[in-house]
Amino acid sequence: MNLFSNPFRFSAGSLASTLASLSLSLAFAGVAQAQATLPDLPAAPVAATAATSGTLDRTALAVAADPNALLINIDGRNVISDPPPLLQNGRTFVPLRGVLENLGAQVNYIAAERRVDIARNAQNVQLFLGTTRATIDAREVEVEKPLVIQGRTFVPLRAVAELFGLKVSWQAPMRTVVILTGTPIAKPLDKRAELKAAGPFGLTIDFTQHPVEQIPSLLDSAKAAGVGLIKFRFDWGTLEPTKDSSFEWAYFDTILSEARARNLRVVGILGDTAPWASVSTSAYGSDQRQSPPRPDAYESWKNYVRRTVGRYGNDVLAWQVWENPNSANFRSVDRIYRTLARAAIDEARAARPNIIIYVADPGGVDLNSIRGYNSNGLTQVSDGIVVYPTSLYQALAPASPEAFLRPYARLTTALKLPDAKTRDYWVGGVSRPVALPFPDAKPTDDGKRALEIFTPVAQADYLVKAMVLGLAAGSNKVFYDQLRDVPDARMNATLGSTLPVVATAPPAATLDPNAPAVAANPALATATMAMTAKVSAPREGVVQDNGLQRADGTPRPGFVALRNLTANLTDKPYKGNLSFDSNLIALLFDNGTRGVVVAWSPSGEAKLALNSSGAVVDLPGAQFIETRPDSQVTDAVGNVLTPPDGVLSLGARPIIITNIGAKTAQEALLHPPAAGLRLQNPTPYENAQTVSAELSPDGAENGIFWRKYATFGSVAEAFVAREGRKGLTTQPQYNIFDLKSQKPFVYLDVADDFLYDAPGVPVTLSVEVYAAPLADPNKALGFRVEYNSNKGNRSLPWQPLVAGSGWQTFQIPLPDAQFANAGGYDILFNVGASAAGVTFGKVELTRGLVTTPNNAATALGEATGAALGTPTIVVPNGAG
Amino acid sequence: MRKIIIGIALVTAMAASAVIAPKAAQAQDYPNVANLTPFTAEANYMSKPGYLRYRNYVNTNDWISYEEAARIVAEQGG
Repeated sequence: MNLFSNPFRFSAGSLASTLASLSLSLAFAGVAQAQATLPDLPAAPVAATAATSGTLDRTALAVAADPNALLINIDGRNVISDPPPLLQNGRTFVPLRGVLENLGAQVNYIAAERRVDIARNAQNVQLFLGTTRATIDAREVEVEKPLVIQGRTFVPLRAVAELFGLKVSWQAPMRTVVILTGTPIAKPLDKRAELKAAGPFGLTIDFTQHPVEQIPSLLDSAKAAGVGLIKFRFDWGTLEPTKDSSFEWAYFDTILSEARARNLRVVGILGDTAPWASVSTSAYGSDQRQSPPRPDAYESWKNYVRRTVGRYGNDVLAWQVWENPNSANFRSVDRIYRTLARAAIDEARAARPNIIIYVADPGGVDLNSIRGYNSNGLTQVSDGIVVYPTSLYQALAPASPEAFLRPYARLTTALKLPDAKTRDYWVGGVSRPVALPFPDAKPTDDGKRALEIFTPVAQADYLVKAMVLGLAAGSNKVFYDQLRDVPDARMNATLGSTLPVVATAPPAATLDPNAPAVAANPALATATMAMTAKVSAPREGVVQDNGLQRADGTPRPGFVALRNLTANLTDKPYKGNLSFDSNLIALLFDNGTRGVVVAWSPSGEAKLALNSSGAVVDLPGAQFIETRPDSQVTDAVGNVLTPPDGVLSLGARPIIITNIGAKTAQEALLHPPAAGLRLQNPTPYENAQTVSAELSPDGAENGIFWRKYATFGSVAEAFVAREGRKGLTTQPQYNIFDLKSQKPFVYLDVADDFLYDAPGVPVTLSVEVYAAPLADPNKALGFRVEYNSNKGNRSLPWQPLVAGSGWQTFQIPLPDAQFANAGGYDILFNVGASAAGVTFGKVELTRGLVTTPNNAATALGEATGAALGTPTIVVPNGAG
Repeated sequence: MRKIIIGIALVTAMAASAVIAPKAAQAQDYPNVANLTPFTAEANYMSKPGYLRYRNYVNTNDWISYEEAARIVAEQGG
């Protein structure tokens, strides 16, 4: 309990009379700028001085929740101190640190002399504890005696401010001391209007990872990319380097000033953890920052939020609590994030009641986590949720840009709270790494695969697809994370070599040479982008980073793609689509004057028939698009692919067609934006009773998919014939020195339209398993199942197998299955602890629980591990 | 001497996997190990923190410390 939460209580009447009777005279011998007598505290609002450019933000002069609490407002900003200011004998005293630094002062306490030194703008004030003695620039003056209460020093605010020549006044109705430093006061913003005016595109910048002299360059780059919003972290550890230290505002003051000068609007991220407050004791700063604060540092967390939002609440349009709090960026569990987020929201609203603040998704539009936000009251107090589409499931397993659509549709419909409050669901971080080799290095096999998968061109294509899908799905803001690669501190920055890296990309679209009346242009059929990468000291393997620019600021194709996208789409809202299935995605963005279509083929095979003559071309198997003579058909980075007439064979790479004709625009409007935009599967399983997969070389995948996980870590890949049938064979985990060499896992994805996010629906998992004979009868075979449930990832008990028992079918009840796979898979078989590998055959999921005399259907709820998923052997295959 | 050799081999094995995914691009949860029985087949005969470390490494190519894994196990309710 803070003794100072209600330090001194004055009734309004006694306070007013006390203050009115005070003669606020300060006798400062020889101090030219001192005012001998100050007027009584005015009843009227403080008018801006001639030096200011606006009026005080009256909303910032918020009445504190505690009616006896005092507020300090400096140049329109509420300044929050901990402990709070106190009133004694009609004088306001503030703690030594916190408020004075907001006056631009540096404060030092000289313990040996019991002296406080305060420096501001080349002026120096000294206060002597226990006395009324003070000096200003070595000249003696007299002030109220500083107070020391329970070891904390409080200095007289008005006296100190006036010693520096600042204008001070008292707003009695709001119990607020107002100080004007002469700095122009920013006009209060209509934040919602400003957010709308900023347009749909944003860019995340991690300023703290770059040298301070790069701030202008980073902001210039953001401006050049054409985005209206930048998002960056008001890093706690940068602001408060040590516990209870002065907050270092200058760095972020500079960023905001530079952003304002470039008309870039700002969204602020609250986080990461200051290293001194972290629950992690790792030697690495990144581990400390990306772990939550210790429970004993929660008050410090709240203080950081309160003071940061209090200071910058008028400069920052919206805030979010943490960036993508997944297991890498927030090394903890949902419950801890909810606790910190709720504390942050409460403190932020106390500092600025009218702020806009969001909570963040741990990644992949994790419906279980977000459901937890709803049920624990977190969503209710926020203005929305910032979501992060999964870019890659594992280190070498990229996710498709469409992967977030289905959970996003659920989020904005089924998980939307019925409280009539408007909430945003921003796409807060589209990202895709680029892999770069190191010179003179021999990449590992994994490194080579990374170089093949994570190319600069793939980053550009992913950016276009994911961002337009976000807009089409209904998000009114999409951000790319992040602008520039982080300089690798492990590299020797003084070394350097220029490594030419030429990437020849497959063409985004090719002309059909057999199409009538179309002249193919072979010169346009190949998109080739050459770029150079400057890399540093050689090391093994590769490095990956998400930047649209390299660490030295040179742009990647992704930067050009973003610029191309903002140039074409910033003023054009999503209006509808010509096609939205696995064969062709063609989205229309139109402002009523000009329309743009962005199109690609997820399956890799689609045709577009382009015609600018005004005639409709009805070509079987091709989507007609009316163009105009000045339409451009380009790839993601703006390379012109073809004239606007002809038949295009469209692949997986996106193309952009500008200046669409009216007929096509009208057709797209027939499929307008609708809640729940999602890719239609070619083979819907929505009404299926059973989905299945045969885990064999040519085995069918009927609603359960396993081949897509070939690049996941330690996944089974060999097929072995067992009693005339081939099945997928796993290996136990026996080599602790090379954990990636064994293959104990089988990953399964259940079709997204089969019981997707149907919470707690009982299903029966049927799995065929072959247990080979073992020479040593004492060794045990077995496997374990993990699956997604409405309570998160669940592990079932170990299922032993009898060696030599051949093929058997196990029916395993899953009473609470929920297949909404933010993590990339729904079911996992783990054979790691088995004495030998086992072979898997057919897998089935059937609605409902199969009941047998030995295995009654389990109830929903907190079933024990033994009852949950207790399998039954149906029959050994081939027996009887 | 044997311990040193084993230590070197472990370090070498870990260093061999040099591809670490950038942190911002993934949606990754820790596997839930709360209801596993440690040092049994369920947890690959590992402790719960050890099993969590192993599974996280398979998913991310990155090692978390035993201390961190133990903390997360505690937070999961294990």
